[in-house]
Amino acid sequence: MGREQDSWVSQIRKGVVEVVILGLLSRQRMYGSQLVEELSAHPELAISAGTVYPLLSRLKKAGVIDSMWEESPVGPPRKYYRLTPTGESELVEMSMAWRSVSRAVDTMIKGVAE
Amino acid sequence: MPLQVIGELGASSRAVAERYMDQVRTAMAGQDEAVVDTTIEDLAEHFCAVLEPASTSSDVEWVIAQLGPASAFGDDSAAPDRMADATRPAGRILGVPYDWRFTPERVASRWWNPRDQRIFMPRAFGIGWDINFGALAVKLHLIEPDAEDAPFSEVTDRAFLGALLVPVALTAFVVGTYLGSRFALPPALPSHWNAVGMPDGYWSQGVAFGFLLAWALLPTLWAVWAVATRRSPLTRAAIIGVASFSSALAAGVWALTLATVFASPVSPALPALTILPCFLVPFAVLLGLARAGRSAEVRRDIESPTRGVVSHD
Repeated sequence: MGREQDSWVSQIRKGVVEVVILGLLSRQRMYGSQLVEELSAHPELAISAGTVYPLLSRLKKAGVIDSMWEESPVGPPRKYYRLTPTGESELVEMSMAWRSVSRAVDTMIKGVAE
Repeated sequence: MPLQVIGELGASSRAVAERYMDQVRTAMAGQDEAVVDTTIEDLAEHFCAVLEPASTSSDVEWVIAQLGPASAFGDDSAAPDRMADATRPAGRILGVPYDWRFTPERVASRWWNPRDQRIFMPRAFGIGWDINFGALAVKLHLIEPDAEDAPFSEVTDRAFLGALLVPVALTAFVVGTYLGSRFALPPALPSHWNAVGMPDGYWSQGVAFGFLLAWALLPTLWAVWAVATRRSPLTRAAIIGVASFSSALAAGVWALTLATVFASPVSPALPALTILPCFLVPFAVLLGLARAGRSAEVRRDIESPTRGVVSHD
């Protein structure tokens, strides 16, 4: 893959990282390293801890997620993240937008490299 | 009062600033990611330095007008120059970053940023790179990247006072050992050591001691002032960090001076060893403060678990 394609794929990943994290948090509250571990199961997304933690900070400042320390049955307390009502609304809007864009793009590249 | 973070701006002002930063990021697509991140970080710091929580969207637009169009950042070579034009000199020379804009907050963001994985960050003030002690602490599993919502924001006054004792104690060491040994010291003291640990430069006793005393005392007094006047947590942590660095350096060089005078010949490794505490001391101080902040957050959440959290379970 050429440099321009690398950059293009990198831009796509950057664009989806927020909706991916909000999507994971909509299922259950999660702590930081748990999110990183979950995302590492999807190497195609290439989302590292260096991306996740600054983004969590930004999302929290924006009021989209909230965090709270909780005791852990094993080991030290953990900081859990979860969606706020604002975050839930944003996730719905982002999911609708993503599906709409994805459908349109799929239509246009149908048959290519299948 | 300057902003701590862009999020303190009103919704419309924040939207204007964030839209500009997004445009800059888009314009810089394809450039080195670290350079893009540093540029965006610098822009955010610039907005924080010149705007206030009450700034209007017109104020933000005025700042943006000074910075120039976002598209200009798309030119790899122009981006640092534009930043320099808009603020004060900052950029890169032969790939080495330089920055002459000094604020304690910039020092804190470079020395303690556990959410950023980079160990070496462009220097907050000067040429080269600073060590990101926060990233180092995360790599050593001494703290989590997200241990604090905002660095040092929950650190108690008592913890700051405890951290302040470090530069105070190091400065007291310099003064105390001088007072205890001044009559036994020769009139000229070593001021420079060569690669094998032998002194190759001398200053008069008064100048050599006075220089080291100023190096330790002035930043320590600055830290005392910051703690006494209860500056913002980030500012207090930054100034205590700077004071810890400079007082550790002064104490290390003073200890080397005494070792050279009273225990010569010294080990060739000794001059290098005096440098080590300059990094270990601020690392320990900032880590201690961050852990105190983490403990305060844990207490806050676990002792009052209903704090503004929406239940999903």
